[in-house]
Amino acid sequence: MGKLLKVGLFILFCLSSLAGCFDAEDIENFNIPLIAAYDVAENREEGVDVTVLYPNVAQRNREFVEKISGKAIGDTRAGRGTRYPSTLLLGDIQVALYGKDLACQGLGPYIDNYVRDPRIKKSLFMVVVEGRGDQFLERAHKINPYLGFEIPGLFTSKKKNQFYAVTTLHDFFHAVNTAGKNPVVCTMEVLPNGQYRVSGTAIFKKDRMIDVVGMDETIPLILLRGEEGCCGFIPFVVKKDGKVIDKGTVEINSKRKVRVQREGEKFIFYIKLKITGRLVEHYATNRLILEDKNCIKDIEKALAGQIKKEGVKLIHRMQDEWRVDCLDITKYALAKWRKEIKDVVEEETFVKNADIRLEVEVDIPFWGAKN
Amino acid sequence: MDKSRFEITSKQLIFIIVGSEVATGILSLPRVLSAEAGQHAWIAVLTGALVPLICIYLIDTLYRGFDDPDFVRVSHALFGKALGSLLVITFILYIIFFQGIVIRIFAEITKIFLLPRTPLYIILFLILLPVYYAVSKGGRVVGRLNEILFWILLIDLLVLLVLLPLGDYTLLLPLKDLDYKGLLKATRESFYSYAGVEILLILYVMVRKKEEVFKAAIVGQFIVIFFYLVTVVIALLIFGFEAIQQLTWPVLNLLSVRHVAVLERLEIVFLLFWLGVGARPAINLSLASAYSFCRLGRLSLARYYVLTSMGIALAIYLVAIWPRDLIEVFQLANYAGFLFLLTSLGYPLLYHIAKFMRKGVINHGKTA
Amino acid sequence: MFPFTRKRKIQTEAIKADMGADDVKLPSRLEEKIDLLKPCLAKNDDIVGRPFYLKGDPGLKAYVVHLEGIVDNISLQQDILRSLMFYARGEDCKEKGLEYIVDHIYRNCLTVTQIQKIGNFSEVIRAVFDGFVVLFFDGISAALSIDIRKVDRRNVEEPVLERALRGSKEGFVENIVVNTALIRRRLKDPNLVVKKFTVGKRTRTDVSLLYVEDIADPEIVRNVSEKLDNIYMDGILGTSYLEQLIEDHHYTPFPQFKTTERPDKAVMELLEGKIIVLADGSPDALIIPSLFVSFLQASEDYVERPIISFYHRFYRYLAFFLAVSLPALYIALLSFNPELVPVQLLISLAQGRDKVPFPVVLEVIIQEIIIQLVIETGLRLPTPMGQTVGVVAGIVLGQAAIAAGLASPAIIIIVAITTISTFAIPNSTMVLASRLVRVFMILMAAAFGMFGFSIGWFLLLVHLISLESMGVPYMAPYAPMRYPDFKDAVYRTFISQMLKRPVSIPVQDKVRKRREDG
Repeated sequence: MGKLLKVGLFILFCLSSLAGCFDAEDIENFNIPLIAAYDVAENREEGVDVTVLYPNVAQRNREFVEKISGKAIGDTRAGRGTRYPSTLLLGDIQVALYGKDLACQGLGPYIDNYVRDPRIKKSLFMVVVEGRGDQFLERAHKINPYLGFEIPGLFTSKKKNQFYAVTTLHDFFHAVNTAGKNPVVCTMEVLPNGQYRVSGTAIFKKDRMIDVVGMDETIPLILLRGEEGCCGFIPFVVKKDGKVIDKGTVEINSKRKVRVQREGEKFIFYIKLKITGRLVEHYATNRLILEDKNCIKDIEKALAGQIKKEGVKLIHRMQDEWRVDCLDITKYALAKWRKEIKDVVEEETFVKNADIRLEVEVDIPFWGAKN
Repeated sequence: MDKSRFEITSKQLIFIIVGSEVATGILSLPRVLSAEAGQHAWIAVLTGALVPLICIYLIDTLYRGFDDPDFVRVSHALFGKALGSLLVITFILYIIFFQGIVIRIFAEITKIFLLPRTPLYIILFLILLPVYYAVSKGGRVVGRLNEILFWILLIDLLVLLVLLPLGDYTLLLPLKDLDYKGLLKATRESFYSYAGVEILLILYVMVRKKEEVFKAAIVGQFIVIFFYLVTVVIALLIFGFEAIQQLTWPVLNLLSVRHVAVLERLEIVFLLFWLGVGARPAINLSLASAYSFCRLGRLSLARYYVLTSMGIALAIYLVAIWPRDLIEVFQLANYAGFLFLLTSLGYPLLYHIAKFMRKGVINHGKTA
Repeated sequence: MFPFTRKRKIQTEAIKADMGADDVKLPSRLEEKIDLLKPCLAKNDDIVGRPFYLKGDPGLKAYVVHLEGIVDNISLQQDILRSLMFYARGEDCKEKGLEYIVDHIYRNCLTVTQIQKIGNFSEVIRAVFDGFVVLFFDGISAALSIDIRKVDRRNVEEPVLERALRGSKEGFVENIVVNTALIRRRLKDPNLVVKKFTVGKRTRTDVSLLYVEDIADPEIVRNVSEKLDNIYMDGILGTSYLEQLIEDHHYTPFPQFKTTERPDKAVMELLEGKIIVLADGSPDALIIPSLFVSFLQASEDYVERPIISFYHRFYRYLAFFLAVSLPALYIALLSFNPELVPVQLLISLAQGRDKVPFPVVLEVIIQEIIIQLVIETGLRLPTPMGQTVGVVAGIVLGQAAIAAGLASPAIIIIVAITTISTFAIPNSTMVLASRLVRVFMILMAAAFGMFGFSIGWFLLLVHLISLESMGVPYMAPYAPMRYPDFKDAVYRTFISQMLKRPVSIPVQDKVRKRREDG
């Protein structure tokens, strides 16, 4: 009896296995989108244009771009389905590009499908494109045969040598859904000849973009946000009595410390930037071994002043113009008085009335100096 | 299959306690707890743990007076044939109901993350197949299995720890202004994740060295608490208690936050190992119920145990396929949490009262 | 549980009855004895009978019977016939009685060591067919059976399957006496017990049970002895038959007892408290009980440096994993969970598969079939031809398949790695097991992808844990966990630190080396 049951069970199992393969789909039948761009629909009242960059499986080293318009993102997938026999493999999307107009409308509805689908990785990078996303892809892929790997490479490369925001889907989602946080997203632009580059940073209020800053302001923004492991090159100019006496570049590494105090309804944030650096080039002296310690001191001072000036300017702009916390400092206030200020942190007045004080400390250790 | 096939060591009991409790509950635990207790969700893990700890204490003291601390035997001795059998059957039914829910949630996760187009009934069958196979091999094998699978759980824990540097500590602050009402509610929500400890009622008799049971069970329980604590804290550090509410299974979402070279998708790798964790409570508790059923019907273990374990697996399958959708499953899981309170505290207390009231009967039972 | 156990019981009873049927006491007159033997002599031309007279006046009539070829002829002539015909003092029997003469011959005449007195006809028959020389004397009912067997045997050579770079180059041969001697020579401990059995009703194979008395667990020794005693088969052709008859679990591809061709390995196992079973006719020893980990250990592990051994052992675990699961993983990744593959690799895999008309599953199964056929062919062919076939199959077939669009380059690599991994497993039975388990994994992965693969491994794990080798858990020291044994399972520690014997194997004396021993 027991044996019969065992055999029966085994047969049942075999049958179910044979009837299985419900999910089997061989890779050559997939279209693997690497980059997807989303724009406000051009030719219809409301809706979205989705432009997707695929690698071409049949032809090596070729990628192609395809634009489909639909009522919603899911609708465009259906539209795609009528044209191609192969299925979409959404799990390998590396970068999502959003047109500027779309970002101004608010990205909430357009990241929903990403967050909802468990097959899509939450570490995909988000980028706002100056202009339209479809134009960006169409122009850029013509002269860059490996665009699908180059753009993600901009964000994954471990040793970043420039300051720009790296925002993953998770970061964005987290910031949008957490009180007191607002995301910033890197912006990119493409020149008519197909050259592309990172052009600045988009400032968001929750999921809606409110402004774009250029590369100049991006550097203090990233420094002030205290992004983990951010490092890059900063040129410096040392002036004495209005005369340039020293020039060069420092590769820096920054750390942020925020302290917050409360005086009644007024919050005082002390942001302290601790910057360590390494001389990359130094024009004033052509000797590798520095004889004058003060020379480094001067550089440190000049750099600190320079960063502080830019930072303060940015803080003013934030408080007067944007009135959202794009420096990610509200969380420190929340950590102390979460219950009381939970409801007010999202209001414009909170950032406007806050007193934000910046302190910059630069330390350039040098070796080989004579004592 | 003789009785020696149902012997476990006290060391294995540690891992069985861990294996019976840690299951699908943990995948949604951070969300469920922080919905009520906000950033204090991790405290709810600790307060919720009081129930299993008390349960272990009660069960241990209950069985101290018996020579043969067999659940069925003791039930008969304390409550008489009819009532005792009724209590045992209720317990078995509870296990079947509970494991049905656990397996269903596991199957749902599998369906969503791994096999979206495979019908649920096949996934359920697929999960119950190893469950049945392991249970039919008897207690000794299940003990060993728990021992080896514990290390797989550790792998999963290590995977979680990778994310620790990404966390933002301000999301756990402030520690003050604790909302006691919310904490109480969160504690109640945590019960579902702690269910499984009541298996000790039945497994007590299988442990070789009875005097080590208490220590082993407590150690196992603390491992569980530690594991839950780490998971909840990491989930809160990464997502914060607000964003986490949007995610059905935050622990799985947690793993897709960071890109990992070569493995690519950490959450799928995690889920593959998870089979060893998610199916374990079903294995342990089915073992307990099949064993009790055989003892209850005075069926010989050699002939009927395998058949009984198959029956239990089938019953779990039927319960698992019952709910219509995930919302219903989560509602049932909530009920299961209440039932856990009833079985883990109610049963031992009831038995204690009966033991206290019928002292003479126990002595009689001892000589018998 | 198994249907044939019941049948076997009936069979054994029949055999027992059969044995007792013609158990006749030997008559004293020589003619009658020869008459009894006649049917045997008439049927078998290789049985030689020779009548002769013992020295004396009158000489006592005697008769010698033996099998041709098995007996050492020189010894027969020199030590038996010569001494009996020239030096036996037949006349004494007149004074001291006929019965005396047998003792006399035994004590004074025969210059050989192994002599036995037998009285039953069935014993005579058995002795003749076992290859003994049997002597009959007129008027004496007892017969003498003398062991002067001499079988032509192979020289002790290097083992074929378990070759080692360093260490002993001696391997077991087909002769049980030589094999026992090979072990004795290495283990001079007087506590080494050699217990002999004769197994098989018709083959009457010599089987020896070897163990060190004060180390081995008496429970296991008793168990094995009992099982050997209870074998009622007509033919036992080597240790592999014994293995199948005494194992606990039949429905499994995994070998529960390890065999070794190396005497040094056998001695090592004896010292760990295990039991060695030797059978005449097979050049290997059965190690009882054996653990799963021991199938992944090679004798070099103990010869080479410990750190290197650890490194090598890691590769063997890896080899087992790959041999079992690589094709399954390939299917699961390519047709179920492509998200798990890095994008660059995914695209190049897709490009490779673009021209292949079959689904991934079929592609894998076709390649698996081809490679199994190649292995089977290579095994049976003579070495140079086998190599040619291997090369043809490996290079030409693989290249041609890719060119013809029947296979993608990736699957050729996968199958090649799998096959290489298969043969990196040191034990040949485990190699076969891994080949079968691989098919199971392929089917699981083909139906349910990564999840099916996961289920497959889970089932495999439960199966391995549920196995027992002579009552010892097969997966020890992993399940149940025996932490002290990790020093010779996960890694190998220094020999000087292996102070205790493995806990996984029950032993009497747990300590291998005492500190005070130095």
